[in-house]
Amino acid sequence: MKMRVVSVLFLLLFAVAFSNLQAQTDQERDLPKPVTRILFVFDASQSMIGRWESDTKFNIATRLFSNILDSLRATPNLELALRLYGHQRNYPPGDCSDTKLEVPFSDDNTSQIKKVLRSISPKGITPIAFALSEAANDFPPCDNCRNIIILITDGIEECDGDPCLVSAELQRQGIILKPFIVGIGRNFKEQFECIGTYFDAKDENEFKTALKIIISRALNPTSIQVNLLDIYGDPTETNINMTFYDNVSGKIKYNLIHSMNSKGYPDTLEIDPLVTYDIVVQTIPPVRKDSIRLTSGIHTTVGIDAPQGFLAFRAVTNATLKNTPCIIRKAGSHETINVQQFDQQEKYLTGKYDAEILSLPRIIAENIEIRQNHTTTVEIPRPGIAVIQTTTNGYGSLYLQDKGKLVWLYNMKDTPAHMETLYLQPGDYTVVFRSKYSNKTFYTIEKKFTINPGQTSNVRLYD
Amino acid sequence: MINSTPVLLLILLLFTCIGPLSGYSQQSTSEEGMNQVTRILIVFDASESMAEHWQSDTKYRIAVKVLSEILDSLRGDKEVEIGLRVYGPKRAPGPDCEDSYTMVPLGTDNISSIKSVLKGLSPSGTTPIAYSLEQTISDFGPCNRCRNVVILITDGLEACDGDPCEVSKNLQQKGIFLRPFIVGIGKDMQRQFNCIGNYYSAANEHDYQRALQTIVATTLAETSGQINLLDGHGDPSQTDVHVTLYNNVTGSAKYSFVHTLNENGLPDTLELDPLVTYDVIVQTIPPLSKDAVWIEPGKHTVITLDARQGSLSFINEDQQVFPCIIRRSGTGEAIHVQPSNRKDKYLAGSYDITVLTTPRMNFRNVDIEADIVTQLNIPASGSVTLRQLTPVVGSIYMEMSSDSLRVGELLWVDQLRSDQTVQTLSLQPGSYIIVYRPESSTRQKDTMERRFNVEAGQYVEVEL
Repeated sequence: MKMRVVSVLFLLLFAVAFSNLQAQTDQERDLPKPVTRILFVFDASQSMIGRWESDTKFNIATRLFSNILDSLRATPNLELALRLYGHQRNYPPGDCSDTKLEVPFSDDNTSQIKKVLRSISPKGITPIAFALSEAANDFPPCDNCRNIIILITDGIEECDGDPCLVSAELQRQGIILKPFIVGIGRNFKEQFECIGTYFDAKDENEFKTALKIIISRALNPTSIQVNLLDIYGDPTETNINMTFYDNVSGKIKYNLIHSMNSKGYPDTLEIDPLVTYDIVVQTIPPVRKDSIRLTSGIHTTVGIDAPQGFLAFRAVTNATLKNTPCIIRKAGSHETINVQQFDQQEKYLTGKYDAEILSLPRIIAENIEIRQNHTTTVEIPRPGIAVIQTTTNGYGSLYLQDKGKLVWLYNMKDTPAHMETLYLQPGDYTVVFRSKYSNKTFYTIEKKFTINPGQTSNVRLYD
Repeated sequence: MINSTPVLLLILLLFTCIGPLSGYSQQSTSEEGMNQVTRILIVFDASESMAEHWQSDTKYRIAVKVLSEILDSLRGDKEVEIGLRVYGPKRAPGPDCEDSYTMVPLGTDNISSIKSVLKGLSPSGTTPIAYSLEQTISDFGPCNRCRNVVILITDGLEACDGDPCEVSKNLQQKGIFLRPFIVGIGKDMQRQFNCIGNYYSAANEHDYQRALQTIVATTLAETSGQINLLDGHGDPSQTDVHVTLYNNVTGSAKYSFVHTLNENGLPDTLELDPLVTYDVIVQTIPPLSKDAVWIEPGKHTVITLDARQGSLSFINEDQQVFPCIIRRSGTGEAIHVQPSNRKDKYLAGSYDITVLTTPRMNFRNVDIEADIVTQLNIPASGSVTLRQLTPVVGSIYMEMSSDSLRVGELLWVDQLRSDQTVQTLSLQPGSYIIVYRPESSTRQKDTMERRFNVEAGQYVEVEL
């Protein structure tokens, strides 16, 4: 009871939040149960009249299928539909566009589906590819639906279509999940495996079993637990965003913040078992685990290494460096993985990193080691201030003196202010300047100066 | 270039005439200072073999006579100091490998004493060349505005197990002296002496005289150069950048100046020390360099570098100034961080540019063309204030736009900070998603998503 009160309060709070919102926002998602939509694509081609066991294939398939439909009656969050092929034009010659959605999706149409099946007689050709591509339009647009096709057939493609390609394309576009196929009589495993998960039904009994397995796979609740492992292999890391991408369509299926339940274990997530997942854990840098397959009805635990520690920067006083960006790269790599503000602590995967602090001069700290639960602090000297004054506009550059060599740092502004204030790290500097109005190299002025931590040096580029 | 040659010659003539008379030095501020002194130390062989007969007299007497004439011609030059070191003057029971002495210290007005000292010696000892070179350290002593020149006059090779090549190299690197001159009397010892310095073979009296004359002329020749920084048309119009000429051997900066075009719009002429080989570094971004540039004594040398540059600027619609990291295309090393409100010049070429907006903007393979301003656009960001009613954990993502290869994927932008109830961010225009959960929650199901759009210059408030 108490929990309910809390959640009501929560909802209220969010309602208030919405009304304040100036931006376009979506409704919060408290993971509502998705609707499972199953489209049966049923073979009504001529060969289905063929005798099989105790009756014709079509009659037996219809009878067993009807029994399954009865068991699905009143199942919550389930909608069914029926598409037939080969039931409108006689073979030969047959018509390769002979397929039709006979019963559209609804949550209360099992009787209608049964009625339609009883009323038709199989007579035509087998246009599987065309039937599948048409099936894409049978699913009305829906944000939170699982679209499943169950194909029941006794023959292979007869219309030069490529059902494998059609199936792959529909899955890639995220229109359907991987289909199921029941092959009646002969074994078509080889031809149908590329379309989806194939079940062989040599006899009545196998046909019944196949349908039952498919339905349970489609509907059984399945759960996953992601263990984010620390350096010791314990699942202690948490509070990180995990994104579950559909490995085939690339679409985001779940986007969650990893949590520990009240017992301190990683929380369990109910998940669609028909999808193969790529999981991205948003540590810095992110960790991926690709092609995670689940078994319907079974709880799966996935371990992902995500050991982390902290990185911080420090100078004696942070005031002048506060907003200095620090570019973080994997040690030895060129790719920027994060830009950390000097005064902000950030969490990283354990390992070695290079940091480039955009101070003047830039400071590069190499091979910074981030250790589990430990804060590594990179300390740099407190900068000093250089006030560079000129009497005229001109061209000037600032250099760091490094073992006799001049390392270029900065080109001075060509402004009428004739004064520039720069925060510089302690060290020996040289400034080289020439008036804009001089046409003799001879008038170049060179001044050396030293910056001490926290102190101001006045540099006058005139005598 | 061909067209400008007469003008250059004229300038060169002007400088060679006016220069010495007025005492006006074109040199910029440099480690040498303005009034340079050339210090010539003569290291003279007085070993036993010098007493041998050669041409019209003994080697020693001829060598002294010709040297004395040359020295007389230097009389009265206030900017030249001369000194004398002699090795092998003592007759010892065995070879004395430290038989080397400062006879006349470096100074002006000492030519007569050098001549008389040389006349009074009789060659009799061994040939400790390496040791003698080492001793020149104390002969020269520290001096910031001096050019130290060694002229070694010898008729024999090292006779004391020393390694004169190594010593010479070492002392040049330390900046004790410039590349020495050697005059080899009688035999040709080029092969052995080349590593010590510039070798002149004196097979006869006449050659010997010519060699000494050339060495002195080379040392004291007014020598000039100019640095042509070429633009996209091959014209030397690029200027106003800092140029450093490093001594190729010592690695120290010899000349340092801001490149200038003179009244005629041509690169200004510099007086250069011809005894130094230079590494030229032009501080464009990235720097240009030309190594081991040799300057011909007494001539005007044009040093040409391809310095085609273009400019990069940002059309920044935002109030904020962003650091923009500039890299050579395909490399990771930052060569410059340009603030978005500045226009900086770069060598023409291809660059990768990262603008530290949130999220970062990456421009890959940006072509900066010579004499052209390349402009990149930074859209105005929007301001977003995130308020946490209870502390939350989560991240902010940008949804990849339709023109991206990774459409549909989420680009991680930043973490939410559970310790900040109000977090203000400047975000680039786009669609964002915040994925978050109350920090205290124990269920993943409590994860929430909040989508919002950021438009340029707009303010958005998001409550979590």
